[in-house]
Amino acid sequence: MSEPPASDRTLNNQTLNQVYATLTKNTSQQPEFIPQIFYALHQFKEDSKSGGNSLETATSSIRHRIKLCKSYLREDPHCIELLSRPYEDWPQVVEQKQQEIETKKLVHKQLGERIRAMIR
Amino acid sequence: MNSSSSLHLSQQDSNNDELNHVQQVTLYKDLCQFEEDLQKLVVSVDKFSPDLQAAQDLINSDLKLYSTLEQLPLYDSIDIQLKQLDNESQEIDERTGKILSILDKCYNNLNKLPMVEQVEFEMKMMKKQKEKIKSGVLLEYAMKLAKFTRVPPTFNKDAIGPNNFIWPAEDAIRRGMLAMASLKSEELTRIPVELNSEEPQEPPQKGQSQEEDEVTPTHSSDTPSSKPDSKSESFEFTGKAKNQQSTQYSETGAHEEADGSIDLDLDLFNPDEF
Repeated sequence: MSEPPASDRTLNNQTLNQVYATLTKNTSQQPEFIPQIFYALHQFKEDSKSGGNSLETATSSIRHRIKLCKSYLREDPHCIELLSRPYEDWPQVVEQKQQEIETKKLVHKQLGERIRAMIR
Repeated sequence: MNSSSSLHLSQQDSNNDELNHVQQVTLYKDLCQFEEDLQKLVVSVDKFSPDLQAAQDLINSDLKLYSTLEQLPLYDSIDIQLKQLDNESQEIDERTGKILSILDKCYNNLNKLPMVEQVEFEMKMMKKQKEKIKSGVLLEYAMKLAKFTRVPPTFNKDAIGPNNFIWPAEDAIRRGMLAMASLKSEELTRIPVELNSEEPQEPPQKGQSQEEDEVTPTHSSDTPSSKPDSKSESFEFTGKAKNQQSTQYSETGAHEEADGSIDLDLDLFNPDEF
């Protein structure tokens, strides 16, 4: 089973999904950054002779998308906490939490056995 | 004024903390770096002096940004695992809280109960107290009661068997009844007319008439004309009778002294008869 292309992938975390969609789902209105900048430079070169639009205006949509992504991240503390650690560190954290849960379950089991023994 | 300014400062501090925290995030740093490099390139191009280094930095920032974005699905899977573990941990914590509250209630209920040692001590004391009431005391009390008891009406006197009854012998019962009759001699021998005039007559009882038959068998034959109904002659142990008795005693003082001097030792029952 092959992974879906990045543009079609949907993430469960809402903030991550918004950031991912904003930066990777490229359409004609929302193209990739570098091709869009290259096209804007080309247009600037063409229009400069006639004194047309500036490059800043042509790349405003890129800056807008980047600001949107930054605002998504700032508004979600949970996502900030998730992304603040390197990905390689998280499996250890997950394993540690699993061990804690297993320990709690074991305590419950022992408590239940002691109570059953006392009732008998 | 001071409070509003301090509140404003605290909000600024919290915003600064959040900003510092989010700036540690790699993705956020990459976005800022891309934005900065793009701004450098735009400024240089708009000034008609394009900076090639800025363009190269922008391409590097773009590569780094998209390499970071490739990790987002991995972070997402980690987030799913963490949420599942958090939910499971929360359920276990809630269950633990419930168990602890139940155990706390049980502990309090058990504390309200007396201790086992205390219960055992009280049981021992009760047993000791029960042991102190010895059979001799009970027997003595029973013998005192037995002086005036009769043979149960359900007992078959003709039955052959051991003669170890809890009631006294026939002659002892008769002696007890006679002693009682001697105490109440004034009541039993007074004129029935006075009785009828001074106090309302109680309805006759079968048991009392039988008692009188046994105690004073000749009484009804002494006054047959004045008292046709022999059941009305049965005596009663009431306060009024005592008053009447006292008035009659005043009339017959000498006789009273004689009655008072009677030894009322009713210990007529001999326990050796058993």
